[in-house]
Amino acid sequence: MKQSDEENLYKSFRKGDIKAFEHLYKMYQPRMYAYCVNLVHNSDIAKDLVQESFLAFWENRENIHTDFSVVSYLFKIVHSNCLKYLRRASIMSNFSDLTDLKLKEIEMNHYSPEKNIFNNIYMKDLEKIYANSLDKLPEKCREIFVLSRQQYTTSIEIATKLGLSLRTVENQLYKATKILREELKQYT
Amino acid sequence: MTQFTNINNNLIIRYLRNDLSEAEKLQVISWLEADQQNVEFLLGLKEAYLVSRWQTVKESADVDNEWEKIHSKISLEQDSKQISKRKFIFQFARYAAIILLAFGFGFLGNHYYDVIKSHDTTFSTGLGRSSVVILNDGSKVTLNAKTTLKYSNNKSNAREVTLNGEAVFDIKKDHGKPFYVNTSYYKIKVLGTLFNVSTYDNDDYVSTTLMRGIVQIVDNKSNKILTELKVGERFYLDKKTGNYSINMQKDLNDDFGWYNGNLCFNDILLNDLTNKLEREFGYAFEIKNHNVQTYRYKANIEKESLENIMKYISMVTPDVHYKINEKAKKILIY
Repeated sequence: MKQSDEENLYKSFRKGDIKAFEHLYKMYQPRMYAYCVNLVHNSDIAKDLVQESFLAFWENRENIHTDFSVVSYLFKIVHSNCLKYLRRASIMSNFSDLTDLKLKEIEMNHYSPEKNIFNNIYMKDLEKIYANSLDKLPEKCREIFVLSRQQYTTSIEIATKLGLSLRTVENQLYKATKILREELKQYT
Repeated sequence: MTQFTNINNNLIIRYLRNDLSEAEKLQVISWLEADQQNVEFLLGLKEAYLVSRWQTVKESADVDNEWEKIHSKISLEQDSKQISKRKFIFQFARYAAIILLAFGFGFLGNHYYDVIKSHDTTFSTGLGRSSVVILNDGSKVTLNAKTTLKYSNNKSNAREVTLNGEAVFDIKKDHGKPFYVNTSYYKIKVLGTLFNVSTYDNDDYVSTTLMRGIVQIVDNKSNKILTELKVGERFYLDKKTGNYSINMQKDLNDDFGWYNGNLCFNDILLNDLTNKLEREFGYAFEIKNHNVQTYRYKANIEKESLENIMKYISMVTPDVHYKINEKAKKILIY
């Protein structure tokens, strides 16, 4: 999308154009979902958090005083809703998951909305990156990697399936991820 | 990248796959905290991992369905925005119109707090309970047990309620806006005053007793003023004969006793007495001994249990025997 198109979209959105909102929603809902689900590890909760955030985004559209990167405002809402949820969940479980919360907070801090939003992967066109990246993997590596992406397939299962040692599988996964990481850097 | 290899690759993979044990999480945390570069390295891998799983993640985001949900919610809100604004003001006026202070008092010294919902403008009390309703003009209506008060505010220049049961009205003066209390037998026109109205369906009478100010009793059919009550007077209408009488009350406790938290019997028949007890305590009475039905009782009882009241009755009239069935909430008089 051209920058001027984007600005027009933001403008229309702020004026209450529901078509513009739909456009933004369809573009960013999966990314915001991805951000939430990898923190809360529950699809329904993640969806609810995202939905709640988009509602707030829509309801506060008139309070956004910029035509520039309106979506960073959206990410702020998602980020803070997510953090709120994780902290409340921790309280509800009597802080039995403090280690987990700490790990997540380190991660969330990395994506803090105060930091440059343009380095944020969740603001990027992941679809395009994905399409370009996977081909770069060596064949063996890709096979293991594709298997690993299927949900609930453990490394042991992959190892059994391919007749490899667990160590090999995990090394290959690591290698694949690292290659992809290098690919990703082109987009940052 | 050698500086990053001081952590086990397996740990990283298991981190990406959300598969770490508590101890391993601690290990990862301390590794992350050691160097900011470690954070960037690990999260970079995590991003790569996410990108690789993007199709799956995107599918599970279910964007089209989720959009439908949020879209219908938003459109609904937009449509109802105008309506709801008006509705809100209307409802606010309605709720403000009737600020309800509900409380109850029982004779066991218990206080029952009875909150009556004001979805519509009908208020009712249960057995043994009383409540206070404050109307929008500041008038206070204290409802006795088993009483229904309907408040109608639809006529622009009238203040009007319909009563079934018993209530004490403390009406704010408002010149040009008389207050009406409707009963099935007559209505009471009020211009700022305090009075009691008793109009229970199962009683033989409808009575109005005035403590302060002036009220007019108006015939329901002819709309003629039957009488104007003076302070201390009681208008008593016999439902069966339709005859009415006006008496100066020596003791206003008979009609206002309940209002002060007392239970008063002013020379009433045993049947009327048990009716009152039934409403206060929620017990059903059955009188099997016809000889005692003509006995009359006069008493002013302050916060006593039903058991004690029954004891007193049988003390002053020893041929009244009674049996209390706690479980069935029934009292047999024989």
